[in-house]
Amino acid sequence: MAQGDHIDLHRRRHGRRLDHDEKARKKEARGAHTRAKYAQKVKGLRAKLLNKKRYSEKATMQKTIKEHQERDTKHRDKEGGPKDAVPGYLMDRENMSHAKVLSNTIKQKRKEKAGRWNVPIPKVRPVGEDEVFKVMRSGNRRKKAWKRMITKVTYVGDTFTRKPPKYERFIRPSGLRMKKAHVTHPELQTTFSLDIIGVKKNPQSSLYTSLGVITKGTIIEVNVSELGLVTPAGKVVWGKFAQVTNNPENDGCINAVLLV
Amino acid sequence: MSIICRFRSAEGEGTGPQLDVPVETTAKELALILNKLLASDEVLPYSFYVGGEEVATTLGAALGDASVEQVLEVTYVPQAVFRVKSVTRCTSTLAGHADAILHVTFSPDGRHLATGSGDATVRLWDLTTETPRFTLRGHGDWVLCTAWSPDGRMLATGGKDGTLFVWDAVRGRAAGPGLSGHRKFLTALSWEPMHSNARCELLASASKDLLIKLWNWRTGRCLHQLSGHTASVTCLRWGGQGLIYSGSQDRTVKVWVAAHGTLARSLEGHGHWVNCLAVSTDHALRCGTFDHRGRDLSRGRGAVGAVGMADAAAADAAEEATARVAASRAAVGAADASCELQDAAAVVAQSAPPGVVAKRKRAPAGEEEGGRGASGMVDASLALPDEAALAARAAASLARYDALRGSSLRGDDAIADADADAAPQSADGASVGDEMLASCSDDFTAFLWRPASSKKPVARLQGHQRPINALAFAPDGRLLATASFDGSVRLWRSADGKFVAALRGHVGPVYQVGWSGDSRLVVSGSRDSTMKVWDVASRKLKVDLPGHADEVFAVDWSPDGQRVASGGKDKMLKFWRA
Repeated sequence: MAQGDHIDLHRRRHGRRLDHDEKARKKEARGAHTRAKYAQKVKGLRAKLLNKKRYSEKATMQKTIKEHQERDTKHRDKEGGPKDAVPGYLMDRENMSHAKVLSNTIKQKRKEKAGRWNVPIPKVRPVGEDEVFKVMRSGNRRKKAWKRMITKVTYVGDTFTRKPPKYERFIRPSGLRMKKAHVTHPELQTTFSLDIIGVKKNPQSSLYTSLGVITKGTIIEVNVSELGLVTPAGKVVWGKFAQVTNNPENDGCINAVLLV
Repeated sequence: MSIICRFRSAEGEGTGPQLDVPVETTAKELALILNKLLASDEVLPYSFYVGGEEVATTLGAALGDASVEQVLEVTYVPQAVFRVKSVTRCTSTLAGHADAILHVTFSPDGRHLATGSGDATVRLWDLTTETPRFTLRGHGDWVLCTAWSPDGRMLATGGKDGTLFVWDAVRGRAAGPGLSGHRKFLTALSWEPMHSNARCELLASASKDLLIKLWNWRTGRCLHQLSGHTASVTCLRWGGQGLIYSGSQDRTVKVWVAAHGTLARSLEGHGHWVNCLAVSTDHALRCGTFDHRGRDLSRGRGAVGAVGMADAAAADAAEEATARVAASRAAVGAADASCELQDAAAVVAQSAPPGVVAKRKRAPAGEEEGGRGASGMVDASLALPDEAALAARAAASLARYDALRGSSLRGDDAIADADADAAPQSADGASVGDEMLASCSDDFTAFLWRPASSKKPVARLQGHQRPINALAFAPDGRLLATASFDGSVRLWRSADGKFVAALRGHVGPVYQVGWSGDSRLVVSGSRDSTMKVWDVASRKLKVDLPGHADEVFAVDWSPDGQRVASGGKDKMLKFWRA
């Protein structure tokens, strides 16, 4: 017999104390007070942990309450069906993700030429070279300081091969290289994980653009062929620009919004 | 190398002596020889078939495994004498609708165009100047379907709110109050063919509420209510043999007798929703008495110049039939009796047109009653032409219908019978003279039926990889085009459902497909915002028509072949011309 089982065994043989339920109820009722007392007293790391736990508990509770409320509501859903007018033959079909034909190519070309887009994030925080580049010291006495390591997320094409270390001025760490971006289509309000084709423009500096550095506000080109977008001429669009909306080096992923 | 061959007409008669021709003889050269043999004044176009295989390039290429030791039977089929020029450019882009354009139809004479839109209006457009003409308001919600009466004067439209309107297209106003009765949105409309009732006053409507209703728009009364489907009715055709065909999401195609509104048979075979129906004689049913130039065939011999092959025959027969009308009042019945009937069921179905004729004789009295009841609801301008004109119209369209039914189907069967694996039409007892029905479905296949006589399918057309959304028979009834969500348009032989070609090029689902009047070109509209014109003979893309800024929902090629109209989600109506 395992050591701890004697309590169970006793319970099975003799049952619980007669006042067990009463005591359990009272303990639970008192629980809120106990917790409050602890929460007021606790400091430091324990406080942090407690707050985190309480926060998640409360969030779950809110969610559950909301679900119950939804179930109780009396009103019926409005008659399902597409909002935009569709012909009879599409009426009963499931709402396929109707990707729009994107704005016409000439406009896009013109924008491309000017290097200016109507972007969701028009202003970006300037990122200095000392933030992006970490000086790598080399040489026998560590006194040469011409090498730089990039501390931001970069996109490096498939065909890239590193130069011999002796000549390599910029090191792009493989841990910070990314090939995919989570791109949101602003009209469809859906997000897709798409391949990055290249970095079109980093507004900080042209050097970052050529190095493929991706910071918040960078325009990247993504492969949208699976979205089924078409040009006005009826060809499948495969490359579209998107602007990065988060700080990828902090988050570990790239979030972007498609420029339509 | 040379080969001994002999021409055979589509009806199976031999033409001319046996000929010794080289195998590299092209179809064009064969046509020259044949024209000589037939001693025709001008060189008429023909297509040639060897054992069911069309001679596309040379005789040798089409030979296949046929023996060169025997006399080769070359079946010839006349093609349309006129040619429709392929549309190549957009001549006008017309704004006006405030929401997506959902349905576009040309009138049978090709003089009017109607568009139904999501903004609850119907618009009529002036085709000579390509400008807006009338805006018809009345619907409370999206206008989902439009249909022209076979005489080209009335337009019926059905909306999402379940109402049905009949408009006077000449004056641009409603011909009566809306016909309400359906509870859910209308999915399809179909008019009674001209040859069974030249008054053009009956039409059928199908709705999501599982019902099909037959209306007389003059009296505003619902004559019959056809119930039997157990899911939304998606498509509807009023056939030329007094039958109404309907396809539904309950996976069946049902055949109804139009005269008494009873179910004749239910065609089962599809594994998923039935999306669209087409009848092999659609072109004749749609165009009524109007030929490929929009002229009225019932207006005497003067109209018959260089008309198409089927039209010429139709015009001759029309003349003859008109004479018969003069002789006896039962012209339609007599002409109908001349059709050979093989099946008892077909007799029942066939006896419908005389029934309709009988009803027509009673109709004036009933109509007066209706007129009083509805307090002069029907405009005086919509009064009927006199009985003689009506009889002439009915006779002309009947002749045309019979010509198309006979020439296309009999001819094709002759070709198909030449095949080693002859089509089993005769085996299952189906009458060869019946019109064919094609239905397409979400189960990626289409079926061919002879619904007047048999409930067994003639063929199952497999090959598409996504649901088939639309299909259409060529105006001469020999080929069938299907448009699918897999982005391809496929062509099939309508006699036995043999696969002919896959036309690929669209990068999105193909929504609609339409034929030019000479059966030589196909136009398709797609979600990828383009339309494409395909050449049937070479089975290749002929013209790519980009221009719409969004999905193309509706495409129609005018019966006179002058232009193509298209509308879509970008709210623009576009005209395309040669």
